[in-house]
Amino acid sequence: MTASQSLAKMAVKAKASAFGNYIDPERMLADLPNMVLVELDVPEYERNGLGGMVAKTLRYEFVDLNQHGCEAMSIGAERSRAHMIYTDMKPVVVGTLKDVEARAPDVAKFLMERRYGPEMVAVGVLRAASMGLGVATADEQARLVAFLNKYHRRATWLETHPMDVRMANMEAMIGEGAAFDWARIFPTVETGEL
Amino acid sequence: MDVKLDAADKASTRRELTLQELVIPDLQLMAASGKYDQNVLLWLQDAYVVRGMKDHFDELFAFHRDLATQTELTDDERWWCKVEFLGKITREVYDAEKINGDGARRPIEERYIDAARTFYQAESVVYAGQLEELAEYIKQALEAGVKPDLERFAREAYVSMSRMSDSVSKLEKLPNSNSQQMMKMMKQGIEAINYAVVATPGQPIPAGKMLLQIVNDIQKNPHRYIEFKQPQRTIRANPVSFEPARRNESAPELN
Repeated sequence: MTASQSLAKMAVKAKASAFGNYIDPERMLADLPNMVLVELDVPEYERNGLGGMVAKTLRYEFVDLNQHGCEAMSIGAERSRAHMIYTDMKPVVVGTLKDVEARAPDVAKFLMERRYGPEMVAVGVLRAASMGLGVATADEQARLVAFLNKYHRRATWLETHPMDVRMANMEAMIGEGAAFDWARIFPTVETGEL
Repeated sequence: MDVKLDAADKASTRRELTLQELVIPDLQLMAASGKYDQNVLLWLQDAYVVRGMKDHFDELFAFHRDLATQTELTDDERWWCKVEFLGKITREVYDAEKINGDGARRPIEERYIDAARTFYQAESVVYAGQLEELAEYIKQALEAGVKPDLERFAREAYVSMSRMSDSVSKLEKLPNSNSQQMMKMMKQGIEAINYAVVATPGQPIPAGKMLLQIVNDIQKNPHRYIEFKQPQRTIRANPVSFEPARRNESAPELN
């Protein structure tokens, strides 16, 4: 068994009563492989023009709940909150970094040549596919790079401002959801376009 | 912000928590005793913070709306109002559990060992995953004919290895820890990098070995290669307030 395979099957033993993330008893935990990339429905990402959140899983075995569950660590952001993954977030496993890169080797190579690291390459390959972008033309390349830089900038901000995100999500729950004012947050680089 | 240095920065700052300081008196006392790891205590506290935000939804929403009307406050004052409010509801959730006696819950001092064990193991897994990912990335880059920036990735590998080593050391001191398995994972991660060797026409490039050599050089003099930051200074989010009520109402449509 390779190191990657043994990591994928692993689960950190935990007790929900001694765990640093709140497990919502009203939602159903999703059990996924450990340390794989997933796409998730996370409202603040969608609302702010980033699409689904791309994340890496961290799998736990909750011995006192007699079930497994996962945290999602956002990738493509400089830091990450640990999001508990619930089935209502519609997690889609996209595999390891190697699996993702194999989907579009030309896009991966283009991004590696521009010195994007492993996480950004993964986000780039996934988003290029969902946006219907290749890297054949300078225009496509520029659009992909612009999106990736935006993703990194905004996702980092979202991950490091949990209070603001929570309050924005509350407004969304009562039908008043709106994007953050990115032009104000990043005045030198953002126009506010989503 | 350098978009390309994602893993190194993340590895050095760990997970993002809602509150960066302890607000629950019991946890503050534990921290003051010097016997407990503040990172674990903050992590344990975060579950109460998030639960507080859920359980006190209406109160939080009213607070948020009220704050939005206080236009005389500076952004920094606004930030601290939020921190104080979150601290209040966090303490309320914790105190209610302690007083009402959630049957399944032991005192927090007793739960600490379990929490610390989980925390250090989870940290170790994350760093092992980063080493694996780095090895895979280098291999893929070489196969694609792209020369990776070995010094940059060596810095990332060094940070992951040193963080993982720190977690394993702390794990070893706990009863019933799984430190041997974590140590094995770290070795596997390093070996994966070591074997990231791809033959280019006529000449093999031992990229993994070269990278580990640079890691050794970094280890001898880390400050020469890595800019260390004070976590408490870098981890706090920008105090500027951007609550939704102050957002631009004419935001363009999604594209």
